[in-house]
Amino acid sequence: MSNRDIIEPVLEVHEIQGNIIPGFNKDHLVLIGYTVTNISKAKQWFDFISKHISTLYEVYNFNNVFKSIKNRKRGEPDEISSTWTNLAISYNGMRKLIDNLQEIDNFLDNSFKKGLSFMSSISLGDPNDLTSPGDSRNWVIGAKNKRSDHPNGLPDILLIVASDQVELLDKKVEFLKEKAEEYELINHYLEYGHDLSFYGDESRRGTEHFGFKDGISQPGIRGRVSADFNKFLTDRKKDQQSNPNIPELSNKGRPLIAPGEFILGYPIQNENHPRDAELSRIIYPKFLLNGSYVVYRRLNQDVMAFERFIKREVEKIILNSNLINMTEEKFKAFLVGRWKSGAPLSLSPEQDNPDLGSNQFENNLFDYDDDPRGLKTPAFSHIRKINPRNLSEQGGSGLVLKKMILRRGIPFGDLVDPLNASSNSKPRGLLFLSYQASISDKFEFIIREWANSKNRPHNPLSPNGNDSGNDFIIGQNVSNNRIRSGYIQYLTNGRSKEHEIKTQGLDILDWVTPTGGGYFFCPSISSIKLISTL
Amino acid sequence: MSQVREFNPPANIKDFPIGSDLYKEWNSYLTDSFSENIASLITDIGLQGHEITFFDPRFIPNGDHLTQSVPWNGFPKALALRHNKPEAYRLSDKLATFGFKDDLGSTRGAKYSDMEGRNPLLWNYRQQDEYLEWAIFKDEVTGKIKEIIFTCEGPEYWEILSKDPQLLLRLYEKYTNNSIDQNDLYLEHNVYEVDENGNIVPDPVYKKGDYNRYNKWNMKYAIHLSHPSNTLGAEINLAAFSSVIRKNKDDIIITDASSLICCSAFGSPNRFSDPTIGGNVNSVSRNGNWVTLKDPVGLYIAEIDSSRFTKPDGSIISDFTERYWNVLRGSEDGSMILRVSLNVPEGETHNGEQLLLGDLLVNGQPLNYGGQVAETITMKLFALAVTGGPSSTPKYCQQKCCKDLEYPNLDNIVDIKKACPIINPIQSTSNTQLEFNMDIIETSFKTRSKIDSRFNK
Repeated sequence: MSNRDIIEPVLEVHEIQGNIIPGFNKDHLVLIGYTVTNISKAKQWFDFISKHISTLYEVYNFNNVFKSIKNRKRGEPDEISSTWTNLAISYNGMRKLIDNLQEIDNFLDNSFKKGLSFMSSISLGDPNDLTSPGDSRNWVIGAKNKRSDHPNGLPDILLIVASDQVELLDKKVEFLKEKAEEYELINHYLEYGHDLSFYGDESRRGTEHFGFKDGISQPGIRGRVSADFNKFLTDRKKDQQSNPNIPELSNKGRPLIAPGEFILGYPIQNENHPRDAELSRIIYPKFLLNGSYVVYRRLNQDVMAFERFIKREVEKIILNSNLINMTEEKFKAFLVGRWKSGAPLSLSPEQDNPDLGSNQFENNLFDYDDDPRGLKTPAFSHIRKINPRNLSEQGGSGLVLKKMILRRGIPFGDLVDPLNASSNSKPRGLLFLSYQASISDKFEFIIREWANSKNRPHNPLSPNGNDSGNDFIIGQNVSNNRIRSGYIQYLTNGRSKEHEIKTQGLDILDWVTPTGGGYFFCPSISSIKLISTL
Repeated sequence: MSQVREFNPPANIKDFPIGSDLYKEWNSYLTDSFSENIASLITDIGLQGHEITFFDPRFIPNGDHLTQSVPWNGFPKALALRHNKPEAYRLSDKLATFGFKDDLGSTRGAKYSDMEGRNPLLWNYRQQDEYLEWAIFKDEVTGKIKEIIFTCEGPEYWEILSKDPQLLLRLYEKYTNNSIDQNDLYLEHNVYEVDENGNIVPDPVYKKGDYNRYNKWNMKYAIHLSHPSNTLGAEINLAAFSSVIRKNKDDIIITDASSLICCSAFGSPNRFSDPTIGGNVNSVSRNGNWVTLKDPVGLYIAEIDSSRFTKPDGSIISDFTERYWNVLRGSEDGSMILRVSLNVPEGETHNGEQLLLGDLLVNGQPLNYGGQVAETITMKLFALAVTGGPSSTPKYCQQKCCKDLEYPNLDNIVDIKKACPIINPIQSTSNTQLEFNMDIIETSFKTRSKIDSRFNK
């Protein structure tokens, strides 16, 4: 095996499911949960469904054609559309369907085996209070201590179906429903997600319910889509530093990361050298190769509670600090680290810059090296908490690259009507989906060690040596009565000052509440077929 | 210079009164450490005096004062890089012996003996090298862990306490809850190094009457840090040398933590602590500030992530920190913890039996090793920055990192002029080459901890 095969391995493009890489990226998505009742029929269903699973090869090629038309038209193509299907299995599903599970059991991620509802308050800081919808015992899907055939239990099988057109999606759902009945699978979960432009406001395309452009920062993935020497999965930025100590970037300014960090069986990122990869020390059983773990987290967003918090804090900032020009938009940008358009504070600290926000070649080209105090991007900003980029954390910047995940989420629920308070009570939020080679080392690490932590990944220089504070967007804090806090650092006449932000005293402390989800494994196409024979 | 004052003991602990002989000793030790390191920046690195951003924290320059709390994880990263997680946990609780290769991949110190080699001394240290060490206590009947004591106190402070044998004895007895013979804490004879051929090196490395850092009570109760790299001297040295602004051969300023530690060799690149601390200090320095360690200089336990512990049935433990996490030494405001005991209070039962620490789950897994708990602990130190620091000419690297042949995720520091061994991912590794690289790490370690050597000789 040559060094190139390690750094840029040839990906098995017909084996890897397409939502892992490159991602469906559709306006409409549905999650379908099945419970297995008749095991032998269910195994036959696996043989059937294996023919309907969309692969990396198909999605990658479609996306290229789609992009090509989009560039030509400078608008959304209506010439082509597709409907993709991917499949994932829960641990319970594996136990039902795989007779000799013990042969691969030791290779499975511990958190996957324990399940999201179990890890919820242990590792993710979710509410542990039976009166809260965020307590995993109350979840609408994947609830703790509920059997898989319970309407709120964790399905054995999760189908992720996505389409450019909602009509095509509905048609596919109907088809899958008939087939599920034929194979005696209980379909007890169906949840739709739509790009928010679906609700009639094109300006909300690509945004989440709080109004921010979402999904901007994704890792680039190394590897080749064929044996051709330079047929890379991810295009490379042309003019970039040759310094081997900083990550190589994709043409969109995304750090290139070894595919083994997302898909089992491929070389993994070197701990210290951002442009190097290593063979994984774990020799996975064949069944797991080309597979990935999927985290599905149903996150409710309470838009008005968020807005009330913003309003209250901005009033306090203006009253109690020298930041008299603080605006709600700026404060929101402080919490996120980007303006609503997606323009990063790091590059545009004073005001939003929609051109920058929509420029996918520029909006990710920044780090925090010139801002150790968090004067531009506060240390508690969501994007700085969950991706500290070049900041030294836990032994070096190499570790940050090893924590990246592939996010494939989509909003659910319609837009809140600011003039109609009752519209706020309808469920809405994000169907968070992420793919990674380890749930415990990546997804849970990011939430537990960074988002929820008050002092990691990085504390800023500050007058009183205060901690960075919690992530106010997705952070959970089970251990401090759910209170989250952080400090805005600023200068007045050249002197450093700080102002504390705290969620204390609010009637609603969480504007992002987990209301369901589960941990799943997304097997290769061969392994899906194999299940029918096991 | 806006302030002139004295050094306080770690966490402002009050083992001896201000102005006492021990207080003066402590001040003298830190004064020397800072001044020797600052001098080394001139002699070893070639900085001009006016370029040095690192300063003695007793003399704070004029400017805006800012503090940075630098956090890192307490579990030895090098073990996690070398072994799978369950094995790394198990090894983290195991003692290592001087003169033999430890599970972190290093051979520390040498084989020791008393006069004429009559009695080989198998001295132990804890292979926990993130400035956090622990001792575990098991229930005699069930074999389950019932208590874990964590410490992050540098040995130098206890060397100073040892100048007052009564005080030292009193503190040891307090923290071991045992009656102790004073002779257990001091060497009863000279200690000699045994060379590779089995011969005694004539000059003793430790003298009769010296405080014995590796005494059995420290090893059993984790009174203070024992790993040779876990010293306050190393912390000061690390802060001083990481303040130097570095550039690579293409004259580009080095900003990433991994490259900085390889370039300056101020610690081990395979730890959570050293690159993180160095990276932060360097960032402060290269952003135009003066930088130092804030008084009271020390390494501290910041917090334990209580949410990761559950009862055997997976249920949440309420008030975990209040009831299970007992701070034994630290600052009055709780912000700087030096010594802490984790245990389940007497009378707390599960299924009618006394609940033990070993009954709990960490991250859903049974608590079998202290390392599992160490992984939930965040450590910290405090860096002090003052705006308006001097401009400094960036220096080229004197060292670099080569990937370890056997463990490519580990880095070994070598001289900048040396070629890195070529790694063939398929062929097995050469043990000879591996030993060679380990020697380099040892050499580097010895260089950086020379400040600390006063206690070893």
